[in-house]
Amino acid sequence: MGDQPIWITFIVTFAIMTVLLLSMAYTTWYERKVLARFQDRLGPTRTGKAGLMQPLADAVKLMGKEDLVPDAADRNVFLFAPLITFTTALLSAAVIPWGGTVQIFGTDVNLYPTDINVGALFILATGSIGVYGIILGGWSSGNRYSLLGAIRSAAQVISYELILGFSLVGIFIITGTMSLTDIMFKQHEMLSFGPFEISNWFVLTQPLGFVLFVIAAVAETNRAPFDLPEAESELVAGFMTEYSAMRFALYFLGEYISMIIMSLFAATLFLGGTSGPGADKFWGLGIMWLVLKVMAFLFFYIWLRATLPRFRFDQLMGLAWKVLLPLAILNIVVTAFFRLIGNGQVF
Amino acid sequence: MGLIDDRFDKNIFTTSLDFLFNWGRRSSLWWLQFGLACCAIEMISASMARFDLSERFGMLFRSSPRAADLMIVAGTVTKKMAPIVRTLYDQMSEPKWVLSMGSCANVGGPYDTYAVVQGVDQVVPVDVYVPGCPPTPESLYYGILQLQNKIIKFDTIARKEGKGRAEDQRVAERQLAMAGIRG
Amino acid sequence: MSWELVFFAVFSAAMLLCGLGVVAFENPVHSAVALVGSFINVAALFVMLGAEFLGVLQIIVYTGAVLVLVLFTIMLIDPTKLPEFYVGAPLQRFASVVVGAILLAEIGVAIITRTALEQIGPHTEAMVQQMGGNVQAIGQVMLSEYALAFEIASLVLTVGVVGAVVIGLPNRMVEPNTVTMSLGHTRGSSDMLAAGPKFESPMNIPAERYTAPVGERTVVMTKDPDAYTHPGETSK
Repeated sequence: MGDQPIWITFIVTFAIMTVLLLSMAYTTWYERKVLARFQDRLGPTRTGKAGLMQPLADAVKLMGKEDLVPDAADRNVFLFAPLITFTTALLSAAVIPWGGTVQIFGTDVNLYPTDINVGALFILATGSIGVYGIILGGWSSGNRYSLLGAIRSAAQVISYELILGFSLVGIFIITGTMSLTDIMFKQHEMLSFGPFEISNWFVLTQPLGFVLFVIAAVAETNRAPFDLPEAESELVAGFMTEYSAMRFALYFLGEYISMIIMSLFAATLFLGGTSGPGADKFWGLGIMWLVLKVMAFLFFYIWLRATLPRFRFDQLMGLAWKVLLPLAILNIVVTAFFRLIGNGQVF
Repeated sequence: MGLIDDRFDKNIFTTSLDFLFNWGRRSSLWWLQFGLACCAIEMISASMARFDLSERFGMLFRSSPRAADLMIVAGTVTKKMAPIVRTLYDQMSEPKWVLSMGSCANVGGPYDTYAVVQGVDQVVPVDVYVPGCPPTPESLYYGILQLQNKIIKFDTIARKEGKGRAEDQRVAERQLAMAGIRG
Repeated sequence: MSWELVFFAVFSAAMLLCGLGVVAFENPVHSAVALVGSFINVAALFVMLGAEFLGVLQIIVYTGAVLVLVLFTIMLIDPTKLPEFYVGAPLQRFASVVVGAILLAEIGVAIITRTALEQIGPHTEAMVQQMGGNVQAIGQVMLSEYALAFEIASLVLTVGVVGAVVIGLPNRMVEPNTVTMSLGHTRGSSDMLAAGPKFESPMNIPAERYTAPVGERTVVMTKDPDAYTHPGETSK
């Protein structure tokens, strides 16, 4: 975890961005295939082998579409808003570690773009800026469905960001740090129960925090069953009703990339990040474990979408403020209590 | 795309690019989620598990017309509904296609009355007509495959040969007529 | 060093421009967006000073929560119907000038004592390092030295939340004085009106109309039925 020349950081960042952008496109394919299997269908089969060219076809088509700006729209804000969602979603990837410091061709390389001491909060912060894309896009469209979607999204994101933040406090209390790299390497330590040894993943010590985090992450990314900002049956397409072509695609991809980021974040915080059998020997295996965990999370996202109906808005707010928030506070209190016992300050 | 439409002669670059765009458009025809009458039931059936029209061909339901490429007019178009159909068509972004599904949408069907538009092509330009009352999902498939064959042949960037010829002929005819008037 | 200067110049220039935009834009939503830009640049300056925690909190709390609520409110208002801001009560204007001057003076005093007079506060860099870093230092100071101020601030916030809930609660204590109207159901759709409405309705309909026997009741519609089908024409 030492300093490295800036060009290595650039190369690592470039590699991570490329992987993210590609995987974002193929997450749409993954979702369509998995969702189709859930619904006893086949999913894309005609475009390339097993529909593998489908994301490319969608991208090419969306590039060739007409970029409409409605008459009633606030032109500058309308054109600018999708960029906010997309870029802030990508920005969150800057603090997520894909491993520690490794030797590649005899050079020390940090497998993360940056390691700031408030990494976990940084992701929350970029998420909270990302909601501006949705709010401003919905408002500037000059369409009341869009406006309603924007307002729902604002209320939803404020409520669930609170839960998201609170569910992490337990981990901060245990580790005493907010740096994602430090949190991840804390989980590489082994716990031994007599002959058995298991990794000290925080999902074992923070099960309630994990559940709260996953629920809040689904709501934060506007996915089913919390996809009220774009509820098709009531709001046409919510905040992106008036968007066409690439600006629509930016919203679409921003949603998928924040899904991936949230999965990475959850895997790093609760499932040990790159920890897994053999990860200490070779860094590539660690990355493979991280990718597998992320894919499991993405599968869970799609599973939820295929299973659960959409919440009503009052149910959504009631769940956040009356159920999840007290549970999150309870989690903090209990964790703090055990930490004090561990320090020998109680009893 | 307005800048490069109809600008260039056909060569390997323009035709390849055209093919790429046409392939993309053909392979991801997102259709506007709206049904007018009983044909909509067959359309829904075609997109459900047994036939899976929507996903196998890369098609998706979009509820917003801005993001849709294809409008399937499924069912009787009444005169009260016609302006709404036209509005939806106008709200869709270019390039866009219309598929008229069922006899009612094609020609008015059995309803030769004061209340029904006799064919949706009086309201919006139609690319493919699917006959049947209502058409089976297989017929809808066939119509969509025909539409895909039509889309892949589009020329977007290449200069249209026929356009210039028609203009030349129009000018020649006009000059002939003017000469006739002037004696 | 020079790069830091360049970044500082860019961020502070952007911050000032955005601040100017807040005042200058006519549309309140544009002003709010400019405020967002200003806050983000302030956060960037915090990060450049090595106060990452403060920078991130600035974004989460101010940009992510407070300004979203501000936008939320502004979006629901018709900007053309806003009252004129600059013709407030003279006392208000005077008070705002005084408070603004005091705040400016405080900032000036802080800058002068910390730079010109070189009276640096107790938390030097070495001390922060000894505490284990910036975040830990803030935590320790806030919950030991300033614990009372911290608790008072949270109490004030709690009072604010309770007050908002009390104001926002529907009037359960008093009798309901509005009536929900629905087409084709002259008694209205409110469950509380089993005996027919006796209260003032939002539509200014005389209450005795409802007490008439069923056969004599006039159907009251919220909108002329023809207004749905023939816009612009009135029913005959």
